[in-house]
Amino acid sequence: MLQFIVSSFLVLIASLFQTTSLFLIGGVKPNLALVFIVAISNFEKTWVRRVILVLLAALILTFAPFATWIDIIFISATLFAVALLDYLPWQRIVNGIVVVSAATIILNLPGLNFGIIVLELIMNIILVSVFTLLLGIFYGTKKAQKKNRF
Amino acid sequence: MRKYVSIGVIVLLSALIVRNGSFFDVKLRTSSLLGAVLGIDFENTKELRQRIETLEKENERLKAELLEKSNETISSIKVYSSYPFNSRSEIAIASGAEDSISQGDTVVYSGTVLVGRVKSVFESSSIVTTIFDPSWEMAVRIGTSEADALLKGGNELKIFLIPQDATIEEGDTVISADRNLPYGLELGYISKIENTEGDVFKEAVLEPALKLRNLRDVTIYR
Repeated sequence: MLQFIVSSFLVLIASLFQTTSLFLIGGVKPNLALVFIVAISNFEKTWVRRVILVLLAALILTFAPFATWIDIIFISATLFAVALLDYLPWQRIVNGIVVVSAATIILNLPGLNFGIIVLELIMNIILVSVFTLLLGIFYGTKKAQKKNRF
Repeated sequence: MRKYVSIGVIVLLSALIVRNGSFFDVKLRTSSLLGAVLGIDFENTKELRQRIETLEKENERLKAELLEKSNETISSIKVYSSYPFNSRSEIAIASGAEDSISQGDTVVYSGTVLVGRVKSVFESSSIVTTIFDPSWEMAVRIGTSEADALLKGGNELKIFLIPQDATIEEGDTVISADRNLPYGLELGYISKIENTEGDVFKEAVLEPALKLRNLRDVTIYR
């Protein structure tokens, strides 16, 4: 449960940062919410919790008083990415890179600007690799300790 | 006698040159050229630059005041957030229908820098499409020659349809000249000119005066 609370807090912070222009690099911002959800979903296998995280991010990212089509695309693309994660056979980081790339392309389809997609892909891939590694250290260690006790 | 006449003529000519300002211009150009060659600034050039900077700032302030007087304004509106994805460039501001904001109002920053236009209005907030949005297009004028052109938004702001014979150079300021916006709002300066031989028009890249990252408060002109 503590892991889920920490994950929710991380997704909340990442989504809030995504609604600012603080991380604009070359006029492009990384999709922090997507990156965190994918990185966390590598360790969080309960589907209800995954869906809660996706909806939490979508709620914060909503840019109007009502849901718009981009919110629906975000929810669908992120859920698709999380589902795909379970079917890929490679290591966590590689799986993360593949699903984040797929979701980034889907999310950028409305604008379809090659330069922006490439720049965002690079940023998202670097971030998902780093966060998967970091979460692996914190979440992974905790799981190993539990196993040892029994 | 000839000696005194010559001295008199020289004094008269000098007075004329100094009065016309030609001497001053030549002196400035020479000192600027020498300064450029030697990589140093002469004292009088420094003073003049400071004076020019002060006058430019005063000019900006007066222009802002004039714009505020000629338009109905709502000042110091907080910027809530920016659009979370890269497909659009929009910001949400803390003012809406209850402050009589309406669709199409002009949003500026620091008095004269154009931010964008109000796209949709809610009760206490509004969505503003910024000049960085891929769909943004507006008429602009470039530099002292006031060359007409078309600005297109996006990740990199580009200026199209600049006539081949227009005398523009890097560093020229670009201002708004669109019928839907107040005239003379600052957009930035030309950072690069792309001129392909045989083309009817020139293209240029605009270095924007607006930095979205630093945007906290905006003003609305109606």
